[in-house]
Amino acid sequence: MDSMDQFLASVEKRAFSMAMMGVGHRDDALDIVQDAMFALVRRYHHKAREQWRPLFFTILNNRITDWHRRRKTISRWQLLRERVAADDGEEDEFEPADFPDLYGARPEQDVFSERTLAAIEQAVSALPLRQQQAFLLRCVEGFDIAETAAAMACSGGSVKTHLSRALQALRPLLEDVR
Amino acid sequence: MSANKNSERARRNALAAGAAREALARRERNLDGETLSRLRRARSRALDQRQRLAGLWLPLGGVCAAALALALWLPGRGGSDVAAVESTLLADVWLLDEEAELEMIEDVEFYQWLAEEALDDRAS
Repeated sequence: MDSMDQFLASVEKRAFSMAMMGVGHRDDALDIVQDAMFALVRRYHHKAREQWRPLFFTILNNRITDWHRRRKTISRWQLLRERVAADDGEEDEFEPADFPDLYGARPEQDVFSERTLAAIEQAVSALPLRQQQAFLLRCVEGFDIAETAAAMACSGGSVKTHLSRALQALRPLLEDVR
Repeated sequence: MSANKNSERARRNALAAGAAREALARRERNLDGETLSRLRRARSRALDQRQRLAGLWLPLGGVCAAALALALWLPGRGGSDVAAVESTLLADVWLLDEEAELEMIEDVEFYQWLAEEALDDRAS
């Protein structure tokens, strides 16, 4: 197995999960992942290996956004609502790397109930696209603000705003976790 | 906002991130065989294209080299025309290589369009 093969194998399931959350259709999600793989190999296989991951997730996000553009499911009202809501939103300063320190080596499975995980998965899937992308890239994939902004083709400030709104929506679901 | 409230919010943020990571990991552990198989096939097809690309770039490189050689060996005999052909070919090669950047420019235009649409809605 060569290094590109290894890389794609290491991200394909995560890419599929993100695409599924983004578009909600398995076949479309698979097409998006395949498209992203093709684009990475075609254009960037000659780049240094450490660049593949941010490039791949950037391409993946662009494909998910394109999917929404084609289906016109990003409504103007949703975008407007987000922009207006963002004006009065407080920004969260959040460092994903803090999480392991909270629980040490304790497996996450011990912390969250099945019910909480299902609720979180459903809530992340239901987030507006840009919030979902900011949350998944920053908090789940661990990209920093600059990398997330590059992947989403927006400013770091916009990333913080989207992330803040996403976390605001997700926090109440963790009421029963102590 | 009190320090306690901030700290509780940070804890919840971290929990949300952890729960989302675990939810995704759980989803990935439970992927069905057909999905896994299609992901493997997609990966394999993506990697196969490298061979095809290598086959495509070899003759293209040859054409460019031939154009360059012609320009060098025929100075003063319509050399400027040859140089023009050569530079066109090289420009095409550059364009092919820059396809990704063109797409990124398109994406930026899309976001500009979205922003303008939102502003229009706001104004009306």
